[in-house]
Amino acid sequence: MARTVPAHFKPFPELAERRSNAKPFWIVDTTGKPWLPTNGMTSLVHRKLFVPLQPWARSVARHELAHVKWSPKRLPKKLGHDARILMAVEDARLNLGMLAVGLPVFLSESERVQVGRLAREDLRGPDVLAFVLRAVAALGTNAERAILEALIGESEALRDLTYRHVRNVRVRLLRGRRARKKPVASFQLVRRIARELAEELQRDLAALGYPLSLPWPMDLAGAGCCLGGGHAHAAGRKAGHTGTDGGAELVSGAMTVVQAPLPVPCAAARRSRRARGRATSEGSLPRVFHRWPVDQAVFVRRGRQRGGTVLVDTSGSMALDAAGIDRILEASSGAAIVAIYSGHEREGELRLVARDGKRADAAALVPKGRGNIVDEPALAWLVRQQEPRLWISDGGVTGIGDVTSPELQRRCAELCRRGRITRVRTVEEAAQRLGRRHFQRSPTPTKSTGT
Amino acid sequence: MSTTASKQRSRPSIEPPSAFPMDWPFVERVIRSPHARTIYLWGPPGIGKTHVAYHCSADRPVFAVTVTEDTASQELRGHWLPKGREMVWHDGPVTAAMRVGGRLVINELTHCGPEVHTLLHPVLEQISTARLTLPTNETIRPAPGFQVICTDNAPPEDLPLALRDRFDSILEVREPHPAALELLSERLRRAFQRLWNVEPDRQIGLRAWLSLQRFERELGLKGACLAVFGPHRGSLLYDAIVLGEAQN
Repeated sequence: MARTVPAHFKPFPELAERRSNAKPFWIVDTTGKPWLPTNGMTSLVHRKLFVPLQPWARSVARHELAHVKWSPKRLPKKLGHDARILMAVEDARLNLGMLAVGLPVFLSESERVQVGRLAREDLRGPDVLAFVLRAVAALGTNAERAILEALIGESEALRDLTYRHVRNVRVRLLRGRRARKKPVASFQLVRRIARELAEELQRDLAALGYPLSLPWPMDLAGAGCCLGGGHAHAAGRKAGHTGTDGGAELVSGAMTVVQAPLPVPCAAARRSRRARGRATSEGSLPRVFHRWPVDQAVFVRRGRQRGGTVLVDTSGSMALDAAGIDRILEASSGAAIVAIYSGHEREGELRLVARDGKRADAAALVPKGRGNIVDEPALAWLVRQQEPRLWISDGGVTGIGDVTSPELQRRCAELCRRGRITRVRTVEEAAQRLGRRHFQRSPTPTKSTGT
Repeated sequence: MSTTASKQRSRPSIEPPSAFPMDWPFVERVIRSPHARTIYLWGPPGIGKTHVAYHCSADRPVFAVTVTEDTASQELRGHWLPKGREMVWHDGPVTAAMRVGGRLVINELTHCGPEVHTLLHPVLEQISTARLTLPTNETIRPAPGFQVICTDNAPPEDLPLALRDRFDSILEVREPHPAALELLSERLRRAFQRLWNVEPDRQIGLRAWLSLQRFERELGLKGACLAVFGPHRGSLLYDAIVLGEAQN
């Protein structure tokens, strides 16, 4: 399930592509998705960019932007050799291109250590083909050295084989670039280099007695020098393979709104003061004349009643306990409405668990299901409730079958925007926000500003 | 041959329904129209709605006010202020605009509370019935030329029906104002147009691009991206702009 993530880590591939396209890229966060073959992928056909939306992932985003800029839309169908060899050389071409335009793919220390570890695992395999491709794909990045250092202690023949091929690819790509007078060599040259590299590696590896195939299946295509997973880099994935993403027509499940019994009064709500008007020196109708000789604040500005609505997504790992409700009621002086929602398969339930200073007992806080299913109708309900509107959620939204789609995400984001819904991650954060509101609007005397 | 021709004539051609283009020249034409006394102008942020509301046919005084959830109706209508030992009435922007026949621009109308909505009901009425009685017992009728333009990012559906019904014209604009776009250099304008259709959380408003352009003269592109968008978003935008300008 795709998660809503901070927008400021989303790259802008539309600016990098050669021709303007009315259809924007769909940016997919790969953080915490171990089922994906790698943490960085680009599909120019489907206009999708898979990158980790994390502060450390700028190098991955840079490399993927290079694919958007220079890679062909589709890989050639008939190659006559393993496509992953072509992908490794293509990665090298792009990395060298990025270096030429002043945007080097620069891996952090921990990423380089990880790449070095994967390279050593290749040699231990012994998967020499994988190792050579990894070294080729790392050309133009600062991970090149970390990979080649894994050769220390290996046989001279293996070292010679790797250095020779890596150097050959580099020199040919640089010459090709120089001949074109452009940042990158042509893709035709990449194809030629890949074909010759495949032939030479087949011959050389056979002579040294190493296996000729890669240890991972073609689905996890690529060499992925600069990729965290270290085993794949799929430019142009197969259509339809979109994880748990639904189509644009995805609809939300049917939602029922139920009122749980509210037998438990909140002590904090009873203690708290009700909102009052505020004396001020400006206004239409003077109401408190006795203040005229004191501070001339004879007008009353109506105080806003405290309250608000808190909607809690109780799907998956999220939950709300009785103490959490008490905390919210306390912060809102008992005036907040609290509701939980979750669902299963095609339907979900929104359950009111606190209002008017009373809350449900612990037994009524057990979620109906473990899926989201009804995020959209629940948010639509929240829009109609009293402000401030807080939504305690991880931001993931799903419909029927607990699948998500960009359209559903867009609709929910629009609801949040229009309904001035603030998403928070924890009960504590919600309570803080309600409490801060309380603090800001507490009655304070106003100084006279007589003109 | 003639039979075929007559068949072709008799068969109506299937054409797409005619579009209703709402471009800026049309919006300005409506604002200038004497029939448009109350206008609701809405669209995405940073495209020049407020600018047009202030400056389009500036032949009358403009009274602008931005309302929030906490805006009291007294702020718009007017209020008493102490002056020495007595209280003096001060007109608010609504009253002042009605008196002089000015243009009242209310920004973010959907953000205000029901109290302000109720105040606006008599103000937005037809010219024959529009009037406002002040706490001084004075009844104000709108002077000729009085016009109300409300701007917002939200659609009119977010307004109460009674208020929505009082607008002579509801204008939705989606494109940035051409005059505002011309302020951008050619390369930044191209970048702006490429990112115009992206999802809202990646969109960059015209204001930010104009800031980037101003900073770029002093700090260079890298420094400008950092100053306007911060380290994370700024670096991603910088990478994309530089790569977009690189040779293919």
